[in-house]
Amino acid sequence: MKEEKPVTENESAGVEPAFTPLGTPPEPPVRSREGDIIHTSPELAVGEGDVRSAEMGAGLVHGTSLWRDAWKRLLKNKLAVFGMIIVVLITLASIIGPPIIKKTTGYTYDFIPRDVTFIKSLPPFTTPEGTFSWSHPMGTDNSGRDILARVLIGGRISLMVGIISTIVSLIIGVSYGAIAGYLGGKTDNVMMRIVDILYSLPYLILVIVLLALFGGKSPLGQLVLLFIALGSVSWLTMARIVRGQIISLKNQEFVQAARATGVTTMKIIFRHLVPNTLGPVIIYATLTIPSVMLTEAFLSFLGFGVQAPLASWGSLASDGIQNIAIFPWQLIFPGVTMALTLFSLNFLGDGLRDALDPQMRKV
Amino acid sequence: MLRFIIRRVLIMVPMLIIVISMTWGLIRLAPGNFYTGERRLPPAIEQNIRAKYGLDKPWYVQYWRTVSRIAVLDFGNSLKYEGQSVNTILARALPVSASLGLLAYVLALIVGITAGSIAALKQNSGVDYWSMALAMLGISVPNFVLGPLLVLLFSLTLYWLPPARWSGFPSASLILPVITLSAIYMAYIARLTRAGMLEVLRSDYIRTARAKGLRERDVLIRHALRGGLMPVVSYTGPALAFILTGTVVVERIFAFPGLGTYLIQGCQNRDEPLIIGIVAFVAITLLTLNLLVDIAYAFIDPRIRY
Amino acid sequence: MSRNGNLLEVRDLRTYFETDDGTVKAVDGITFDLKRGETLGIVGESGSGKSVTNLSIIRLIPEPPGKIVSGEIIFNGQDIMALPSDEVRRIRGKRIAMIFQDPMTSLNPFMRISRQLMEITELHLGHSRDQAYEHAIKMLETVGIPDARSRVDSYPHEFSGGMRQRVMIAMALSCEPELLIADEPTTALDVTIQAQILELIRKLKEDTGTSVILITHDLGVVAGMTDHIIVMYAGKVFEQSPTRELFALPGNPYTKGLLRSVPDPAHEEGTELYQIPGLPPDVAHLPPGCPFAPRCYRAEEICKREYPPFVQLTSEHFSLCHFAEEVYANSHEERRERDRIKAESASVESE
Repeated sequence: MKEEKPVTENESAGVEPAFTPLGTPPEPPVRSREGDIIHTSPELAVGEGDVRSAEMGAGLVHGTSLWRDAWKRLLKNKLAVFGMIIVVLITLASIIGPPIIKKTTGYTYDFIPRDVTFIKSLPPFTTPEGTFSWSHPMGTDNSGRDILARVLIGGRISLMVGIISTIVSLIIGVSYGAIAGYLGGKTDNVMMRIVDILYSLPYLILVIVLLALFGGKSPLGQLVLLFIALGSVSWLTMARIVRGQIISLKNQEFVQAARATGVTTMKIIFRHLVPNTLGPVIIYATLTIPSVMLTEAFLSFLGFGVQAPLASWGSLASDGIQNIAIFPWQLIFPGVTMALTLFSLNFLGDGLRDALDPQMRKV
Repeated sequence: MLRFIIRRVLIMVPMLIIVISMTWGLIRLAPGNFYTGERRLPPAIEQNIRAKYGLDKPWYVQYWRTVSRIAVLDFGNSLKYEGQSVNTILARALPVSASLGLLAYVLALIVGITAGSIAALKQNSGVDYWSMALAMLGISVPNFVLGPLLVLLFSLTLYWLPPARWSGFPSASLILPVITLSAIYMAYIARLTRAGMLEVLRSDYIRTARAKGLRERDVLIRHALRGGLMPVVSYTGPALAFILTGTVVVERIFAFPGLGTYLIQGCQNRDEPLIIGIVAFVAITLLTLNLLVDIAYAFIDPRIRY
Repeated sequence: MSRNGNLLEVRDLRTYFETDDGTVKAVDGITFDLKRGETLGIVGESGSGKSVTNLSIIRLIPEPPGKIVSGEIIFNGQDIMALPSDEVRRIRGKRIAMIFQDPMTSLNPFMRISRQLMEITELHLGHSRDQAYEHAIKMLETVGIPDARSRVDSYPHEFSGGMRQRVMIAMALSCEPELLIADEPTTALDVTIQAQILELIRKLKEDTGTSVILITHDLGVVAGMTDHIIVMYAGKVFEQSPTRELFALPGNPYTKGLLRSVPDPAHEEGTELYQIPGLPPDVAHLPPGCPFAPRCYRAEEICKREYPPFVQLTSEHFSLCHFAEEVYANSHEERRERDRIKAESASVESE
């Protein structure tokens, strides 16, 4: 009960208030942000705020206007658009580039010229005689193979590894996180404990050991191993993010409605809740791809990733570094291409994050 | 707090066992073994070797042997490097990797926090824009591209710095490798600092501090910094783990005889004690460092009670 | 050095924000006076510009994207807008103090309360550490924190919401400021605590003679505490009057709407509660004419076309409306009606 407040005197003394002031109920207090310790995967530069805001989730409810809004915002971000274009260009180039090159000049990534004078590393745009020529814009490697073709093929593998591994980690992470988040209680506790434990393991060291021990069988087998190994590194943070989203969504009405009509738990999780977590998932996936590509690259660089005759940017760099003093282009071209791709992917990821999550926007 | 620490230390044991077991399992499952070279050995000799190293016992006995010895920190002798105990090798390789890793991290902290703070203060200015662009570059250029490029420039063209080979601590041979290794973490820390500081600078208690009439300098250093650096502290745990793996690449590029190099050689030689020794050591280090980070949290953020 | 006993005179203050959506005119021409020792209430919905007004007074507007575009803020005869920022900083916390809405986020969670109190007096009053420490304890006792000496070294999260707001009040009054600006001090608190905090503010004001500006959206809070009230809408002053007169004889349709929106215990069961129809305006895209026109029960064509005049109804009562006098006259009518009904029911009872 409010205590009586003495009414102050003023000019219009003797005036009665027209009603009894009770006061309107206070507005709901601004949510205070509690500090939360979250170990996030570093290579994504995903800060506390990202995971926290994903965990506060609200606002990412279905509705096409949200996506169109986000798309518009994304397009306004010049850097993100730039990144998107470059990524698309490079992807296209890796897909249709090699066949075109094969058609026009006959070079493939493993074509070794029969003429002995050509079996040496040529600098870009040069012929063995030293004159200008368009045939090798990126030069050749020690066996005379065209580096442009190799870089494009390398792109295929690097991008494919990046995407597939990300998909693998997506599938694992989303399922795990969604189930943990929805079931809650003890199950959630246990599942997240496992994640915490796995998080503190020296994962990459084990991956290196794994690949180093089992490598060298078939290039395809190695590739599959790589997918699994890489996918299993990044699912942890994805699980955390999805779990946070699910937790904030699961008490909303549409979930109760689904439950009331007898929808099974699995259906609720995967048909109703997961689609609503798409926002942070897309952001995170776009940022995972470059990090996975980096990991694959340095694994290949060490010799444990992609094996000859297949090439990825990492393995090309590994080849290239042998002769860096005399034939620097062998390293520079694959390296710069890779850096450019990662650069663009990162910008795109950043842009997506800004577009899909306005709370995160810098004022 | 003490109970928390004890609990964490106790958990380390089963985790170590898991790590060691996984490693051991992988080694056993992998094809090839340490004594086969180019040619197949006559069966008799093979028998002897196996007996000598206890390989003829059933697997669970061997497993138990390994684990029980590790419990007393006896990692055994290297199978490839005759007569050298794993501990000796560890002692030799550790300073190399440690100086690389620590120097890289310290450098990353100094440069990253400074750059990130300045960027946050001068948000949307030229400084902000360019330093964040540079940071983006740092994240995108792989260390195995950056390293050789730096060598190309500073060693092979300008002759300022040695291109490779470890020549002890401290020495100029450390400069390029440390920069190569720390570049990506500099970038992350700069971004994290900037994001953290921006968020803190927007918060209500900074507004209160300013409303109290405090000098801007005091507002920043006394009030904003603590909260703003939380993401960086958060990042330290995972960062150190990744620096560890980063050293493997950098050691390869610059021919440093560190833990990474020995690990890889160990894998190629199927040198079980060495592999397990290095992996176990790395695991212990990481777990301990993570624990230290979590303890540091409690000191920085008084709201955290274990 | 004050003019006419006015501690604070705000003249045509305009604070704009540049956003992606356009220029938001958060405060668009506010003028008011505050006499020494008085309490002024600023009332308005969210987005009306009330908080921005306060922040402008102590020039705490973040420079991009905001900017105090024009206006004078004359505090004790000095125009704050004309002072160099160093001088303004010296006024903040010492002569003009501010408390904010959410005590949970307004205190630094990483710093002890003692430190947060001490740094004010160390800076502004030149206290030594010990002096500041003792002063901090004394302030905590003044605001009614039990066991102040042992609690002064705690962290904010160790206090409850109401306690934290008391701490904020203690911080604000540490240097005995001439003006206290309270920006929705009770909105984030429980109803029972609200009353305590408001009572505390009132008592402290009486003890120290501090002038107070109280911002709120809650008419009930304002009714008991203030001498004058300003009603703000869309960045402008819509009505300005001594408190009792505002409640008894409102002169503006918006004010009347606000008053009717407050639930009344005598309200008939089963009938709808009154709400001002529509939503607060998008301040980045205001239509010409009166900003309240789309929601106003009295609006006519002229309201949509022409900006309303600021009409003087009595010596201290002003209203921004084309029909201010009419509304004011209606209020008189309604009051006469109420008095008549009261007189009738009183005579009925006495029979």
